Amino acid sequence: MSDDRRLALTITAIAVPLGIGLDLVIDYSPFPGYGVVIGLLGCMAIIIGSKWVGKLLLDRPRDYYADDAAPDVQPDVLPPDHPDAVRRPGDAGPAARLDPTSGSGGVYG
Amino acid sequence: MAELLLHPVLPFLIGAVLVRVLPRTLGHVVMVAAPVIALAEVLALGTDTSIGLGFLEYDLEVLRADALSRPFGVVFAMVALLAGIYGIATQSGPERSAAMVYAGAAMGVVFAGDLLTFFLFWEVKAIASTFVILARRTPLSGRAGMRYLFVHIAGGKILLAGVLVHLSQTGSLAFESFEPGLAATLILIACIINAGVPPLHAWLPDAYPQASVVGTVFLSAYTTKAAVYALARGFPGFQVLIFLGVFMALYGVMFAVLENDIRRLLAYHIISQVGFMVAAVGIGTEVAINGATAHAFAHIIYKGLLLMGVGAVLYATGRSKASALGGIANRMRAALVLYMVGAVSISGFPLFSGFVSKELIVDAASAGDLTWVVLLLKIASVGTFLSTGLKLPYAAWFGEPGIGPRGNNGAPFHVARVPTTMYVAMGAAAALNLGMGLFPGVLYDLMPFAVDYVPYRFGKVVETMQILGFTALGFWLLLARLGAKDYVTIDTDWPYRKMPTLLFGRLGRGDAGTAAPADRAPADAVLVGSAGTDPAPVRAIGPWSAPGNAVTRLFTPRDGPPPVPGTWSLGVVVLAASALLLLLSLIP
Repeated sequence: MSDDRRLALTITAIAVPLGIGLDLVIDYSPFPGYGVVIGLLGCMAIIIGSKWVGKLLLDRPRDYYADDAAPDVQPDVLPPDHPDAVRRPGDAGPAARLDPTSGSGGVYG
Repeated sequence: MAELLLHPVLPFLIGAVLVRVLPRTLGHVVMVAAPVIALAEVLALGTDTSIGLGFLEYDLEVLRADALSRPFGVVFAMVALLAGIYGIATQSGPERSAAMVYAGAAMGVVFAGDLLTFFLFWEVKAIASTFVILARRTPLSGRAGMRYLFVHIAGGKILLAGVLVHLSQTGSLAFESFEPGLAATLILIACIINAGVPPLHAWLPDAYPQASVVGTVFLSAYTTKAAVYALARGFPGFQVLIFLGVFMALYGVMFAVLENDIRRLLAYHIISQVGFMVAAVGIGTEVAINGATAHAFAHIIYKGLLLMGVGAVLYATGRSKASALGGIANRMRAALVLYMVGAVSISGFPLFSGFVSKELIVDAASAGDLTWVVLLLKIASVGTFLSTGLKLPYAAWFGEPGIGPRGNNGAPFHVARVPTTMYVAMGAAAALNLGMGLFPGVLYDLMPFAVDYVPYRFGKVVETMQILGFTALGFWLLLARLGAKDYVTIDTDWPYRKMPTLLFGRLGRGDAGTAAPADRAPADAVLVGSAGTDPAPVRAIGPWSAPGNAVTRLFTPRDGPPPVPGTWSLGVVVLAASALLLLLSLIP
């Protein structure tokens, strides 16, 4: 077990009884440990449940929709001074250096 | 009638023309001035204005300003101002024009007193928002925009069918709350399509993240919230909405946990948050309608801020996939802080806007003895904090200490400077979120009914902080399971995105290319800032770049995708609209 995980478990072990104790003192929530059930168990249920459904049904490789496979870098939104930037005719912002040999149509490729 | 000149639609429509004809610099002024004038008009109209107009044999109420439309009008104008400032550095004239028409049409929807005016603005809004998406001008936004149009044209026709049935049954076009029946069902379906209620929601996470950096901010504000307004106006107390709302609150949360693209993740949280509002409308009491309205108000501001935050990341790095981001915290500290203001607002931290609005809805559910609704909405809130407040910032901004910006593949990337105007807009949105949290009375005073709710009670604050604290602990314990993976998730858009390909192959696509189109460089794009002096011309692909006239091009053999991206989708839109109109004509 990593140090990080051990620390997380230790803090949880301290925080859970503290939370229940606080609820007993303040007597506001529907039952003592309300925050623990909704927060901690709810959070873990969402993560584990979602990942399970994802694995079972929903996850697909990145190019599943072949035409719509999103690239890691989207150069069209970058400012002109970014090394990966792509400027197109009609883009707003500072004037772009354009290749005079390129066509004037749209950018659908 | 002179008050018609005070219609809040007008500044936006005039602005839409001006930003096209004026130089860009003057366009900046228009983008700021139009929403400010509209806001002043909404405030001047008050809560008791009605202007009628005769059209054919119908009495239309083209402007109705009352207690319900006013808060929506105010926040629509405010977000147009924020998004306009945010877009000063990047928005082109055509995109601004589309955004102005879109904002104006949304304004028209909430100030329409009759169903015909409502329908007209509803359709203009759908078309203008499509242009906002298309304004990004990439293959992906083109196709997503056409799919978006397909869904909204279908929804619009269902709305028209409902309006016509309502007219034939009651002889009235007045837009008041409906009695259950065929007309109400059709109009309700149209509204829940626009509100993004699963399974009719897939257009939202499909299209919103494909718009430009600022386009997504505009989109996040209007369509779903105008639908919430329509639901609150026409369907308060329709119990089915409670179930649908709670379901969508949890549905959005589940997909957000799985999502790799941070803008798509936030799109799923629009669905989740609108679920709170839909459930509140279903509860239907005065407190619940106040809750739905207050939450819509707060949501527009904090969601705008969140999307501006991740938009700044996209602008500076060109990346929006969590798996391709990481380690930018030192370079984008201000963006992180401002984003986190949005994140704690949406998560419902005390002192921020989400807390004072969301708790109204939870209070309404408690008062109605709907314990299961309270419980499930609280769990949805946990999921909201988990994804937007913990997972997203952790994956996007943080990484292995000391090595700087790196994606999952370990390759470094450049972080460009974010323009000051973007920070100004984000700062203003953050201040508004904090202001609403600190002074909830200002927000509550705008609500349609009197609010006597006190959000800051000691027990409530401690309970909320406990829930959020334990959520953070749960995240820490299961951190290993939340690593960003470069997957996509399928959703209910599968039938119209994937099934046709599975059934018919790539029939008619004429795409002989081996690489996926997204991997190709745009036909007339030029690399700027590369090491070389003259960037090599990129291979021209498709008929856009083919010489000759349109007729010649029509018969030119192609090796690329069709000239209009998503010709197939366009065909389906036309076909579906025709089928709906045919069905409509058969209704007696």
